[in-house]
Parts: sequence; structure tokens; C-alpha cells
Amino acid sequence: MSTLLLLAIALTGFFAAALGTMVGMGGGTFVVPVLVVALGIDIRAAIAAGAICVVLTSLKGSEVYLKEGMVNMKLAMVLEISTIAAAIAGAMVVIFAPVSALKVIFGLVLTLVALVFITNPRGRGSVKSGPDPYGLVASYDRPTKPGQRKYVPQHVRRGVGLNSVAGLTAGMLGIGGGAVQVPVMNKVMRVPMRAAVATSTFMVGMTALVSALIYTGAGLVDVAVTVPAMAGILMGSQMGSKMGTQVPEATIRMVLIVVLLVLGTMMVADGVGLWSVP
Amino acid sequence: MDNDTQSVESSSESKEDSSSEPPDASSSEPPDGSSSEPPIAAYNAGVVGWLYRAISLVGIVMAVGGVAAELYLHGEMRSGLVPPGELGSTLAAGEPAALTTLGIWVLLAGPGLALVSMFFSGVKRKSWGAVVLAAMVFGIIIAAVPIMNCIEGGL
Repeated sequence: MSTLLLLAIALTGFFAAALGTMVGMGGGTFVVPVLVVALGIDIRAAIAAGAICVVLTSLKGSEVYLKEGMVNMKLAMVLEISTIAAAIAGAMVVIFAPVSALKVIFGLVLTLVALVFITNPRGRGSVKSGPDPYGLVASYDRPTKPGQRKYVPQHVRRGVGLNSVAGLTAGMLGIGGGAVQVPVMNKVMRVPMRAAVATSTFMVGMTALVSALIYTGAGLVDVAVTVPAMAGILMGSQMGSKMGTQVPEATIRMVLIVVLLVLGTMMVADGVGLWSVP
Repeated sequence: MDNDTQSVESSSESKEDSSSEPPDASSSEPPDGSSSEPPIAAYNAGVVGWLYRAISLVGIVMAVGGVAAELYLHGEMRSGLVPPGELGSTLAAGEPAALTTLGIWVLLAGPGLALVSMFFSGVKRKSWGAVVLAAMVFGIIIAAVPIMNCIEGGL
């Protein structure tokens, strides 16, 4: 692999992570499709690289959230059981499914995420007291106001079921699963957004780990793709977190929707043979 | 997504603030009274956070350092990971590819080590529910290893 291509992969990781971090989705969601549709990297190698990058970004992101006490670790463990089991199944799909099918599935998932952003369903806010049969109540220091914010996660069984979809997506696409987990925790389980993002960031590392182990066993990990992407993502996520507070939300949202739709369409077109990397 | 739903959070936060309950009341016992310790404290988040910081730093330095050394010494790099059985010998031989592979394995060890730490933290605090959950998640991750070996051996 040429030095120029390694640099291109690192730059891809950088911009993908900057955009992903600005919208709280991490870097993995965009790295894999851009590697495939723009650089012509084999989708399985890109997915394996994406999973390892997700582990890295989870470690980096969680250290801050853990320090601030925002991660609901018990909730994470409850949800991880179904998520990880589904991720194993998803990783097996990567190994045995045809490449074209993977591209189409990936493209459809990206389009679906774009639709979620377009429709923007609103949650009902968190619940701070009430029945808590699973002992998942938690609180964290408010970042902008004095005192703590307490919440009791709701609809736990439904959350566990829906998180298996996140696990399957993560295992199958190497994107972490935060794009599914955060809306499920926030909109369905009524976990405050900050806690949902923090808990999801912590969870995706464990979810991506099982997929990465299976990809490693299958020999899908290409160091020449993975390490430059990791380096780019690491730098891009730092820039993204700074830019996220400066760029207007509407602009970020519009860019994100366009990027998701373009990448989704290109992946589907590539999968069905209508378009391929020159 | 982060930004647009933060408005939901902030709106509910302001609602919460306008309620009669003082903000500090949240630090009281859980509503069901199941435990005197908040569940979030059942695992030692501080230790896990420190572990994550150390592992991510060591892992990325080793992986990127290995790639840089390989490009400098050989002008190109191998694509696959060094097989676990050959890792010791290639490291001893000073092969940069072994350093890269080790860096990736160090990163992958992070979440597993966090679970081990959470397990023992739960045992120390006698939070048995937390211990069982950490053990179950760790068990499922470990289940991926034989699958990995099966695939490695060609199923």
C-alpha cells in the first residue's frame, strides 16, 4: 500500500471523525462508507478497521464521561447483554454475506439514520422518580447548573430488545451502534441526552470488541487501513468536539443529512452494480 | 443528533428546575429503596476511566509507532496482523509489525480489562447484582474467542 493511500486513509478518518463527533455519533459511522466509496477499500477490511476505531474512540470518549460520572454503568451492563450477543451474530454476517449485500445494507442504514435526522422525533423528557425494579436510577452533576440531575430509566425490557438492533448493526457494519443506542436510550428509555451519549460511548467499545475479535479471527483486519484511520480519527474527533460548539446546529444538521444521503445512495448504487470507484 | 436532542434535555432540565424539589434531593436514596448505594457507584468508574486513559495512550503509541517504523525501515507495510503464536518471536526480532499488532491488541484488551475491574469492584462493595452483570457481559465477550478460533481454523 502506497504512502499516499495511507495518508488518504488518515485524512478520511480525520474528516469523518470531525463530522461524526460534531453530531455525537463518533467517527465510525462515516469512516467505513467513505473508505469504501471514495478510496475503493474492500468493505470487509473497512468494517474491521471501523470496529477497531470504535474501540479506540470509546476508550478516549469514556475516560472523560467516566470522570464526570455521566456513564450509567449498571444500565450499560444490562443493555450490553443483548447488544453484544447480537453483535456476534452481526459479525458472522460480515464474514459470510456477499460484499454486494453488505454494501446495500450499509447504504440503507445510512439512509435510515438520515431520515431519523430529517423527521427528528422528540422525546418526552426524563423521569426522576418512580418504580425502579432493576435498580438503574442514577444521577450526574449538571454541567451548566448547580446540583445533580437524577433519572430513572423507563421501558427497560423494550430498551434491551431495541439495543439488540444496535448490536446487530454494530457487528454487521463496524460503526459502533451509537446511532441506534442513543435515540433508543433517550426517546424510548427516557434517559437524559447527556447520560445517553455518555453511556452509549462506554457501551460501543465493548460491542465493537466482540466484532473486532471475530474479524481478527477471519483475517479481515488490514493494519494498513486500520492504523492510519485510527490516527486520523483520533485527531479529527478532537477537532470535531471543538467545532461542534462553534458551527450553528442547523448547518451541522444540514451537512450531516446531505452526507448521509449521498453516502447511503453511493453505497446502495455500488452494491447493486450501478456505480463503482473509478 | 447530540445537539438536536440536547434541546429536549435542556427543556426538561428547565422544567425540572422549576419544580418544588430542591436540586440536591437527587442525591437521596433510590425511589424503590433497594439499595443505600446509587447503582452508578457499584462499579468504580474512576479506576475504569484511568484504565481507559492508560490503555488508549499505550495502544495508539505502539500501533502508530510500529507503522512509522515499518515505513521508515522497509518503505512499505504488511497488511495483516502478526499471528498470536509468532508475536513473541517477531517482537524479539525487533519487527515493527509486531509492535503494531501488539498496540492493536492492547487497545482491544481495554474493554475486557474494564469489565474485570468492574467485577472486582462489585465484589469489594458486595454489590452482587453488579457482579453478576459484569460477569455475564464478560462471559459473552469470551464466547467470541472460540468463535474467532473456529473461523481462524476454517470452521
